[in-house]
Amino acid sequence: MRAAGDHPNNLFVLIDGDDTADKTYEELRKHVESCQECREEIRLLKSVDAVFRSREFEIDAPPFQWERIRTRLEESQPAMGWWERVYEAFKPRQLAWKFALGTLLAVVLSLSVLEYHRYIERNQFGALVAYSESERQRIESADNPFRSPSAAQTENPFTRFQIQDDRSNPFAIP
Amino acid sequence: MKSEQAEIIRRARDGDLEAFRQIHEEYGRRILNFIYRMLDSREDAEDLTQNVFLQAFHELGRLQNVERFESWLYRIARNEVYQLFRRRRGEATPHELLSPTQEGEHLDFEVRDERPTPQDSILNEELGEAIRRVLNSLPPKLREVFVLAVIHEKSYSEISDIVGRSLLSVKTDIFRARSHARKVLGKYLEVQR
Repeated sequence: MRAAGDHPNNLFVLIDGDDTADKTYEELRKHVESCQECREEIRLLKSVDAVFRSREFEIDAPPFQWERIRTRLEESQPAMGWWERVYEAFKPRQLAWKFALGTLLAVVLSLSVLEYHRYIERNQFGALVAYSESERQRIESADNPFRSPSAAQTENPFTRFQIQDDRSNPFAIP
Repeated sequence: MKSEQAEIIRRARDGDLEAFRQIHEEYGRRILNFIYRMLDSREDAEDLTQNVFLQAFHELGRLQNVERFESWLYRIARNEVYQLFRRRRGEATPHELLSPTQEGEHLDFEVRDERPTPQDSILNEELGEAIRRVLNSLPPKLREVFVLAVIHEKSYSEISDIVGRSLLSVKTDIFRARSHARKVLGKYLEVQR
């Protein structure tokens, strides 16, 4: 059996009890049981620890420490990282009004684009307006539903079905 | 950790100030005294404790495992202490500061007065002074593990987690610091027996 002094962390291991799995722990414990000198040493080491742990040598928190901390906490906002900002922005309660605002903006934008297209294709008198040759071709193409009616289209559809009345007017003044 | 404590930490993590007040009530004194032992200055300890809790509140959201809250809090306190050391580097801090002590390296402890006083004159004030001398004579690297192991009764693995060093390195440093403390304070205590 080895003497206590031969162990690398000798008697401190026994005091701390953190290394009970260590193979030397049990050996050391048995040695101490039969060694008066080691037991005295352990007692002294425990006294040293007790002195350091004594609350008598501790300091107390200053009065109002928590109040000071709370004041500083309330004054300072935590510096948020970009991921925290993204998280904050997508919180469910934040999403409702953002969705509503986004929808409104989308509607306004869509209407503006439509109105713009209608504007560039017809001037205020309803005639087609082209700002370039390619645009003119596009406007005049048959695919364009907003195309201005051509002369052929402006024909009065009722003229085709005009009744040819050959009867003479009985009330006509001879 | 008890489930109630874990719940309090979770609430504080969600920004509940009342829960955080309870955390301060639970850990405030411990952190204050850890810093005090490291710096030997009440004013600095009080200031840094405030900083620790402010930082803890702001960073709490990033703490994944609430079970490790205490170690995490001590780590913040330790960082605050080392930041102060860095700011004051070259003033009154030991030259070994922040430089890792090599295995087997001779430690130049500068204990001013190790003479045991007669049994009848050993008073608490003297013992308190002796404690301060022991702690101040230890390089910060040894002092922190000693304070955590002996005064705050942390396990070796907890200390390893807090200081970010291997278990073996922590155990060796605790042993060296304790041997020194026993050498200085043993004289007082043997006289008392």
